[in-house]
Amino acid sequence: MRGPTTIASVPGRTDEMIINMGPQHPATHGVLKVVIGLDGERITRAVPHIGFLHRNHEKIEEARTYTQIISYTDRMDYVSGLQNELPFILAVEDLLGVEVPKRAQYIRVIFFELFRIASHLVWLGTGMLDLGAITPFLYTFRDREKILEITEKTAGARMLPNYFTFGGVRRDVHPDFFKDVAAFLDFFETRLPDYYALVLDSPVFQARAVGVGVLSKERAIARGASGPVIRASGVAYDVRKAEPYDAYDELEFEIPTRPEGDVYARFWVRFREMEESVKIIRQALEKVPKTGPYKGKVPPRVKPKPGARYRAVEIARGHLGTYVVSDGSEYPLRIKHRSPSFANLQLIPDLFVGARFADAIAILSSLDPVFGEVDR
Amino acid sequence: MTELRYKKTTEFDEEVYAVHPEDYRALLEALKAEGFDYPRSLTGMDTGYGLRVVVHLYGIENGKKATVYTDVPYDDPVVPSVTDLWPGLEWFEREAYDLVGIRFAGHPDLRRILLEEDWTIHPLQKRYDTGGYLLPDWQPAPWPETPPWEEPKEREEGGEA
Repeated sequence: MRGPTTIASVPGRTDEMIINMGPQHPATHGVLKVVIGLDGERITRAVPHIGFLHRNHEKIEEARTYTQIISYTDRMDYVSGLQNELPFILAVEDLLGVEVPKRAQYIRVIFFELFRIASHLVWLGTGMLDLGAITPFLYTFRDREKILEITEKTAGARMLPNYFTFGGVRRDVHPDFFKDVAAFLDFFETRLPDYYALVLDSPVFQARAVGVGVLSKERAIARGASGPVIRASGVAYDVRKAEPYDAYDELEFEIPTRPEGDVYARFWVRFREMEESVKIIRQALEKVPKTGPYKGKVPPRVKPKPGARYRAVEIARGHLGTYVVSDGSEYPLRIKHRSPSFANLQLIPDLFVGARFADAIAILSSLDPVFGEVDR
Repeated sequence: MTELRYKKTTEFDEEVYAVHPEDYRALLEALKAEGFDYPRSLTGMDTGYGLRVVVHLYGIENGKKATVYTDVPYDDPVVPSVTDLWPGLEWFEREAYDLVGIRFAGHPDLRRILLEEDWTIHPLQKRYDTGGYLLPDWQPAPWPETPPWEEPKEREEGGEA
């Protein structure tokens, strides 16, 4: 059994009810357990318990060669699988001193942003399901399927493609790739107004989201929140701008921020991010060199020089960092994945306490945790 | 104020501080005052001769990055907690305790976080194999003559440069 199913009652208080939410609760997006103290409808205490999905990736990866590890990183945040490969690859490329050709950089950016859209679509569908709206789920999963089909055509797999590699990508894109992506963008841009109408503009949704679960700017920074969560609290922190990787410094895009810090703001930021992703992919489609190598020169046996490197990227959920320590052999000395949902979930006591119990579900879906990545 | 014992180097685009464990907290306090307000990550690791804590910091305003690390011996792996400076490191310190076995003095709630509470080992230590069993022939490496926070001593007699 993991963690107590109750918390000690406060001496002298008999009116507090202790309930146990999860780990099989359908709205916890996986396996999160929160022991909640309730005073009527108000939450008085919240103690989260994680680790139900723990596989100790980091120990397994110490016993694998660098090339073998890439497929493990996919399996952290399985909703945006491909994005997880990048920080590890960037760190090893730095230690190896490998140059990435421009064409590979742009292909990576296109896939990276496609997976951001795919991940936000899953969040939108399941998040609205938590709030009791079934229709968006059906629409968003249909759209996401188109992205997965594009991925399958090039990489051979849908969700966990293991496609990026040191120095570029594993194989060149399918001949139809750029045409397919452009067609998807045209289609997706006609869908976005519907989602705005179905969700953000809906008074039913606004009644459950505006002013709920407010996170202050100072608290967001101190707690190490990242991604849409910190940007919805008015902090324009985005790794793509703060420390650009691949071709992001050659592309123009905005960082959508909002000062309110409530559930509505976090939903709004993700909507705007999907628009920005479309903008980024359109520019990348124009700028990508039509010919050229898709992979730089990498030694067949990957042995980075001794040293340590921390690299971060902005995945759909926020700041994903990987710390690689090499001792010069084929096996890493230590690999640490800093996952955004892990840090964001620390906000549960901050956001839950004082909120109504029904709002806890809305707050949790606005944090958008994926437990493959929290528990690793 | 006494002089802090640390060695500062630049690796790639980051400032890397190797610091004496007794000055670990004082250096982090100084960095926090310098504007490193965002906790990026905290890593615990086994170096073969001891346990290491690595803190990755970032300044939201100035965009600067810093890495701070210190080594502690296996038999007394205690460093002061910095969760009061960066509350966001609370779970990271719990994870480093859980998986690597570093104890953070002054942490408000130092429990196991990813593993179950009845685990007795810290599986990321090098003395255990991937299955969590003790490696029979594992021996700790000797503590380095010049720890990372000290400048290497000048060679007194000639030798290879």
